Amino acid sequence: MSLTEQQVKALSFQARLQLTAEEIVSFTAQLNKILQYVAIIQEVSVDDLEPTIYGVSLTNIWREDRVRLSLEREAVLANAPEQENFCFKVPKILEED
Amino acid sequence: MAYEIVIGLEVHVELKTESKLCCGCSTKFNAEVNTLVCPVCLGLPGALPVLNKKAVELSIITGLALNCEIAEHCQFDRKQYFYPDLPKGYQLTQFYHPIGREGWLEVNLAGKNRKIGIPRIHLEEEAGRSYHAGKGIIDAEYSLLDYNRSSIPLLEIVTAPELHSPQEAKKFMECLKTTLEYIDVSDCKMAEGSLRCDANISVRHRGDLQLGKRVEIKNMNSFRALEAALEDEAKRQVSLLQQGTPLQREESRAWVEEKGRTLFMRFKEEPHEYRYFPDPDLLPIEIADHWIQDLRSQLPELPQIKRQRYLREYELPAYDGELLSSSKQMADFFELAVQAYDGEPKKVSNWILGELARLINLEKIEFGQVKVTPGALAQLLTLLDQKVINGKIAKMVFEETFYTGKKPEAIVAEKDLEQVSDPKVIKEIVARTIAAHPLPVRDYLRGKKKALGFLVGQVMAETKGKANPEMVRDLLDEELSFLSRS
Amino acid sequence: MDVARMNLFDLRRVLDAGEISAVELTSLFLDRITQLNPELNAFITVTGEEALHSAKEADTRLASGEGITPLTGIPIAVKDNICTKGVRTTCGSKLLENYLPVYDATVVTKLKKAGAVLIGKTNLDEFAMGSSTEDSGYGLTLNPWDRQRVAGGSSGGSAAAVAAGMAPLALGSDTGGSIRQPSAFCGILGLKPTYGRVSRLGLVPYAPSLDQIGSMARRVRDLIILDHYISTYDPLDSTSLPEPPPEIGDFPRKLPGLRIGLPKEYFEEDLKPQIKERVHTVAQVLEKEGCVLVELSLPSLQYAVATYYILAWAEASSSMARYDGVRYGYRATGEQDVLNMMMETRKQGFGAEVKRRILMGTCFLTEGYYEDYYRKAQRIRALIKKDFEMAFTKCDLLLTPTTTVTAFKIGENFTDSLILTPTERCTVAANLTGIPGLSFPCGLIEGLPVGAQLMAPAGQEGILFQVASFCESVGVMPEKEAINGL
Ligand SMILES: [Mg+2]
Ligand SMILES: [Zn+2]
Repeated sequence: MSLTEQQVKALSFQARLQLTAEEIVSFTAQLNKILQYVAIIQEVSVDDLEPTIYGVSLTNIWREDRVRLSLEREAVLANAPEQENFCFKVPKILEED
Repeated sequence: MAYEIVIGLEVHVELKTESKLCCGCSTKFNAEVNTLVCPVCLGLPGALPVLNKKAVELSIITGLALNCEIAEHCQFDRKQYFYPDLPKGYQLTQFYHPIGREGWLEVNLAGKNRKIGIPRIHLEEEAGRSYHAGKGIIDAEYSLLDYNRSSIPLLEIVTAPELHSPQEAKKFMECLKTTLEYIDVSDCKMAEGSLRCDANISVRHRGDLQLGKRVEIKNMNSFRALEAALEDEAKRQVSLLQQGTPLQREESRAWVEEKGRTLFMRFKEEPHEYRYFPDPDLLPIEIADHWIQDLRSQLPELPQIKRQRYLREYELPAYDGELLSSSKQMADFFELAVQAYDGEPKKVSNWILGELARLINLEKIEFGQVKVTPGALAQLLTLLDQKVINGKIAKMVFEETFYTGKKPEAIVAEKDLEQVSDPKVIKEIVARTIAAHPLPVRDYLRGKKKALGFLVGQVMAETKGKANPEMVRDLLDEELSFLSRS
Repeated sequence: MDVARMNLFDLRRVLDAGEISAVELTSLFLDRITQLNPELNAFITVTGEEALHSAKEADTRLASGEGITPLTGIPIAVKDNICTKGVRTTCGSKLLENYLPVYDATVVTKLKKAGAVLIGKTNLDEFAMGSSTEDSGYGLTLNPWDRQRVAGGSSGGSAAAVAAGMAPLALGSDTGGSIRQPSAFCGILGLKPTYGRVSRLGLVPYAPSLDQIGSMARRVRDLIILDHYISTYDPLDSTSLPEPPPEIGDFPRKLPGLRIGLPKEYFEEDLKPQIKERVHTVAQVLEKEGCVLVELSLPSLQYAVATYYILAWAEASSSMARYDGVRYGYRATGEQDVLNMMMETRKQGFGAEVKRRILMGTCFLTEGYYEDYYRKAQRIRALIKKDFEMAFTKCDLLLTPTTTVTAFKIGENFTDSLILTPTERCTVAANLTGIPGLSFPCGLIEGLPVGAQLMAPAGQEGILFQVASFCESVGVMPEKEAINGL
């Protein structure tokens, strides 16, 4: 498999990374080299194995439904790039999801 | 030409937990902005989620109530998209292994019980809230974000496209809400957003095999809005079909309450690439059979079952059965009153659906706030049956019980409302009344039977309404016919 | 007092004997940092004031004689992707240049409780994505042994700080070898503990199913003590192991009879012959002591790096999604809407390597790649796990080189990932399988340190400590330390 510049551009939008035209060209080349390298995994057949997803094999790790203290609002907003009325402020939102 | 409307619903329910899905912040409604927030629900670097067991339990309970197969194994996946109200850049949800599958809810639609399919229910996180400075989202200059709601447990319930009118959609939602209230898993307040619903609707010529292009409608904040929005959209799609210009692209529309219309938001792009993958921070859940059995045994009798039992066991009409079972509190009230009362259950039902419902509507209160106890209603009905009071007095007594919570017996005693049934006493009043009203008496004797009503009223008034009305009528009749013979 | 050359045991002795105060000790280390850091650039932030403050507290403790631990008053350097409350935590990224965490990582809380003195935050490849510490937004870190060379990475700052005696101990993080490889390059010891043994709460994630915090030191005993104090069950990390770590010095096995596996795949291909020789020397020393050498094969190892790239980068693309300029960190200014603000923020805030991994990881999770790459890699991860489990039926621990080369020249491997670094080949398997890996110095080649790696089944750090301890005692560690030359 290999990626076209168009596909890399689409990926960069999905990842919300603004790329310049030159970056798209160079990333496309780099990504294709990586794809070529990792293609090595296609030579082995492992369909009979369950995927390993987690770092440990524990299950049912949870907590009881108890309220714990939230952060002070000053701490919540401490690193806010912009704020207004105790809310995080952002430029207008155009898309709705 | 006949058209068929096809509707499927996507319902989101905020589960009733004290703390959020992945952190210990409170789920309290209406707190000051950004005060119920911690590193986890704010998505701070290095923060880690820990699952709320209660949220899983409430999801299983809901799954059981909706006749779902409960997953033996489920896990959380990351649904990845960028939006400022989504603090981690992904939403924790159950994409690959939903907690419940293949369920259904039985709804009485047009007098027929139908099972509406529920292909999946899954547990996920709520997002934060954005406020748009300006008139609306379109012309906002900037937006403000509050993360108090971020990570509240949310259960998504998806129906099959099996509803065929706006009324059916509304009825389904009412029935779903009743069920969720029965099992006490959510506040189900549409106005507060703890119950929300988006609808997908398409229209086709009846008999067509293929579904039409569908439209997703959002922003409906009440059952009435749901119905009205679907009406509006169905009408629009039918007229497009009639003009021979059916929808070409799927789109999203928003219900705008003030205009009473759905308005175009955007075309649906290619199915969004959410790049779901299992979240490595939350470990999988194994749901053992005995856990399911244990939760199943705690399920209350559900409304559909209850309704059927009422018809069978209490011989109630279908109408009564459906209304009574539509609220768990009302149904519980009914059953306790029936237990405390020796007479016919139908009488209990009449009073609940009649006087009690009238006063509740009048005072705009919830059933749960009612001061009348089931025992008090039983007592009132017994007083009536024993003819200690008459029907008119009974309504008065009930009203007082409703407002004060006093027992009917106490009210009757205190106000001396006992029915007057002593023939000697009534005879005396009857005689006085006849003497005092010669004109109506003459009218009656000349064949104007209506005049009897006036005379009865006079006797009742003299006893302050307490006289046994049948006895009054009998004695008057007796006295007057004596006069006519003489 | 030449504290830079002293091990933890000696530092403890002079502190406990009152020959030096914790404040004086800390000042001496701060002086050394002032002297060396401008050139080596091991620290991004030196926390002089805070360090002196906690040293003072340590002195109070020492004076009272209460609550003294082996770490009381001991300066420790912390990798700058581990959250420290109120002390900026940059992750080596310009995006978090001014980011002040509002909470401490669990390991930091533990160290503070033990009375340790956090002396500064060390340099790393941006968000731990790299293996040379050249990809930092704060300049590269030089190797104390040879300033023409890299320190390795991504925990290069911690490795250089310990090797150069700017701190006796340091914390690093290891996702594919990021503790062990720089430890090998800088001639110190580094442990990647069993996954789940050290809480990840507060470790800014790169690839959460692989990340683990671990200890770095110049002496085995020092490493054991630091490891002991950071190993803990943490209910706030769902992937934390519930078993408590073994007590210090609780070595479960005797050396004679211990089976040491030498997997042939680690000694093939591009391994520098002198490194092979050094590691074989270690094997012979152990054999002389009565250990049994077992030749074995791990055939799936050839897929380990590709598997690691796919899984780590897929997870990384998700881990990086939260840096959108909304709640914290850098925000691009002058953008008209939130979408452009996010795109521009991420463009300006992330370096090239991070962008590359985000793009590649995003690709692995899109439809068409998800099954064939991401899911497939998870299955191969299972295969590698199986191979290792099989190997551990034949031996008690594995001995391999840590890296196939010694520290390379600056810029030599700075290749935009086009020549895939060979340095991860020996280390990634421990991350994929969750087992502990310990790198220790086993000699010098042309004046540069060589690292040998020990791996044991999950939870068996004890065997690694025991073997490393023996190797240290018989002098396989380099005779000349970096600090001697500084
Ligand atoms: Mg959803
Ligand atoms: Zn929270």
